[in-house]
Amino acid sequence: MLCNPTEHQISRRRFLGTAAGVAVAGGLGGLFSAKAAEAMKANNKQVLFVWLDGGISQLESWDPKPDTLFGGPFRSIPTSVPGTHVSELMPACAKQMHHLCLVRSLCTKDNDHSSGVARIQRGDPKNRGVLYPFFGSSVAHLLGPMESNLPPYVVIKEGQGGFRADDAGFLGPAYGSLAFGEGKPPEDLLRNPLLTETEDEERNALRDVLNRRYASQRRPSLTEASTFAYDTARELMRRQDIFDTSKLPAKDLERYGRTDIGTHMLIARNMLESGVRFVKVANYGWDTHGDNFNSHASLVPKFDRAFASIVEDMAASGLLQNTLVIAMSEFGRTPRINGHAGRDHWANSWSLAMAGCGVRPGVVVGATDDTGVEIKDGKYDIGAVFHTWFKALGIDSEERQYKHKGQPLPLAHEDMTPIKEALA
Amino acid sequence: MNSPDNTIPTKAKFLKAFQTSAQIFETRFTPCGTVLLAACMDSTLRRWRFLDAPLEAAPLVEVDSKPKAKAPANAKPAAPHELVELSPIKGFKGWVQTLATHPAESVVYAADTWGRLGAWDAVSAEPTLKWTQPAAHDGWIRQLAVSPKGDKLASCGRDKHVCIWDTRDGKKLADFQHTQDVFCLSFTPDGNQLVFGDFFSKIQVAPTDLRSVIREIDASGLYLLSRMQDVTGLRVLRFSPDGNTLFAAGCKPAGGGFVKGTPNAITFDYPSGKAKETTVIGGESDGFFLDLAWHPGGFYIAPLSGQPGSGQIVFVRPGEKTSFFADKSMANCQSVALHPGGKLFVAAGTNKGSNGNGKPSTEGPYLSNNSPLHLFALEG
Repeated sequence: MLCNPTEHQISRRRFLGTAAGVAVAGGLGGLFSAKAAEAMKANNKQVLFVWLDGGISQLESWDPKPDTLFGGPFRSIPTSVPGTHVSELMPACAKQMHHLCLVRSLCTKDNDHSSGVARIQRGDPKNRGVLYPFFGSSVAHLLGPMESNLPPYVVIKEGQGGFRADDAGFLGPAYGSLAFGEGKPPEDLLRNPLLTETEDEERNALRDVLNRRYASQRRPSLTEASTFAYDTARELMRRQDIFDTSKLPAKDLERYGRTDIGTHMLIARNMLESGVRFVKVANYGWDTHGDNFNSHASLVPKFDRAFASIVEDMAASGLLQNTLVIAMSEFGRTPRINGHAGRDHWANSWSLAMAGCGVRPGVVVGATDDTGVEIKDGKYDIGAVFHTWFKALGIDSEERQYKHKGQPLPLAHEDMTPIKEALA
Repeated sequence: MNSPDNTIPTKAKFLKAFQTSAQIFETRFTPCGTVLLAACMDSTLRRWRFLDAPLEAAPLVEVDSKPKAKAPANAKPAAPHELVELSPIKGFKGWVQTLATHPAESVVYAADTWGRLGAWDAVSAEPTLKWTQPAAHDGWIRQLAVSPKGDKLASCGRDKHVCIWDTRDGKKLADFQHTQDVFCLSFTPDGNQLVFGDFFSKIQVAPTDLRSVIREIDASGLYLLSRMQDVTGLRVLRFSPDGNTLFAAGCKPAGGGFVKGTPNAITFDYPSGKAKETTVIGGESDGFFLDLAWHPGGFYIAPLSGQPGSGQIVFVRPGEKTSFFADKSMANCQSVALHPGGKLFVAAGTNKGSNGNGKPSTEGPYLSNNSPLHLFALEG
């Protein structure tokens, strides 16, 4: 099955341009086929992608090797799944292990941040002379927006926000991510109070006319991004409640932790509940080349609380049934401990955690040896992980393809297949 | 304990290096000076007999870590000191990060990161356990200190407890529930008080019954919140022999992740708790003061951790802004053991090339790093 990104770009722009609350099929003005509309209506799959930038240590999290040569100072603890242990730094996740699926046998190809971050998030496919999209862009493209009209691919992160067209690769800038710095909405999102609602609508109508005139004389890629950003911003204006951290329940703040990742995870929960297709929570500072163990003793418990809480809440609300949850980095950290009590970059044998729709809960896939250096069972590259994620979302990545300028392109590395043990 | 001519040492001369097979956190001599002890990352407490003259037994492999070109042509042969390894003390879990020796007896106290604490005869050919507390703390015991009289042992840990133990039998004498992870501690020279520094580099003072904190000393300049990472700079607390000066040392962190920071040692007037001077050495790549060994000549010998591949041993006088001697031949210095004679010290560092992403390009087994021991002579 071939899939043309251009069709989706148009349909989504029109989709976002319609007034909120208009029925999906009716609002598409015939540009979107009835079949596609039906598929979209049926498709309520979402993704929570927790990105721990810099590289969480697998040995201080999902794959502890206590009291071994490279095991570090920490103990392991039992979890809600008999026989599965995690680091003592993750007591909250240990209680949610029956919802989680761990892959302890990732073996990827890049030990470098600058290239590795993108290679992992683009699925590291075979080189076909095109820039593949990040997973978030792929999902935004393949599943389209949800009925909420909210932007399909958002990032909650520290620092500055903005629109990241590069995420989308060959899909085109319309599938880039909308990043919310510190989880806050874009500046100047609200209508200027000096403008009446009517005046604002008139301005928007004029803008639409001018945009179309401008776009008609240029390549779509030049105008897609700005149009998309503007359209989504208009939609977000109606949903200020999503970002209002002052209204987050104190009990939740306490449970998730009064930290960046705690707050960002709560905003992510709001966004998922409000109908954002793909929410990425990007957390930084995990590149612990020095003082790794004190660093992880500080960082991991904060992640642990926030991640375990959102998994628990999503399971309780039923949201987890339709949401694929992923927590990972661009690589793990070396078993060997350097002279600064740090661990360096390690792509040979590391771990990720998943939960939710399509994922088999309470299982551990793959295994490393006693020292954590070698994979002894089930070696998987990120391409296999991408196939697994697509499969979990109901997308047949072994059959379906992108079509880019007439060129069929596989969704994920064509020499790899889904990790069957990880799928429900 | 000065040099033979009673001049105060001003520098150190490298004598020789000894290879070890483990990474070492802390090293100390027994009071008699015959045994060198090391708390190691491989769950052991290593021991070496320190010999003033070569034995017939084969010495450990010597590491040629000093460039030969630096040695003067007319230099005398290195002193014939040797280290002969004794049976290690085992039975620990995780890391053995800290040890302490009795001030008069040949007893060593050591603790691991899983909470075990114990006492052993340090000099017997085979280690003899005197007592043990298998669950002294819930997890990582960060530091130990023995009271000046040798009757009390203090411990602190990640479980937010500070404890006092009877050195004779290991009976717990006092237990203080802190609110934070406690990184370091020291008895006052009169043995009446214990000072301890926490996660946020805050120092608290309590009598040795630990019933209450009687005052606080602010070293929070050694703490940094970097993104959401708490970076604890305070790692060492030491007193001058008269008890009037407290050294709070570690680093002023510049960021998380790599944990870069500038070595800082704050000198406090202990009676008033006021900071008098901060010794600052080097820059943000010079890391932490990880240990302080007081020399009777009136200065500290201190290892600086550096970044992988760098590090130094420095001599610091209390109240001075920077060091008056530095040796940068070792990488990632962890600890310094001053020999009781005051003329020698051993520093534990880390092998060169200890860091690197991925597997080393060379084929063969994936090896752990290790800590060479460097023997130095103090010179006037």
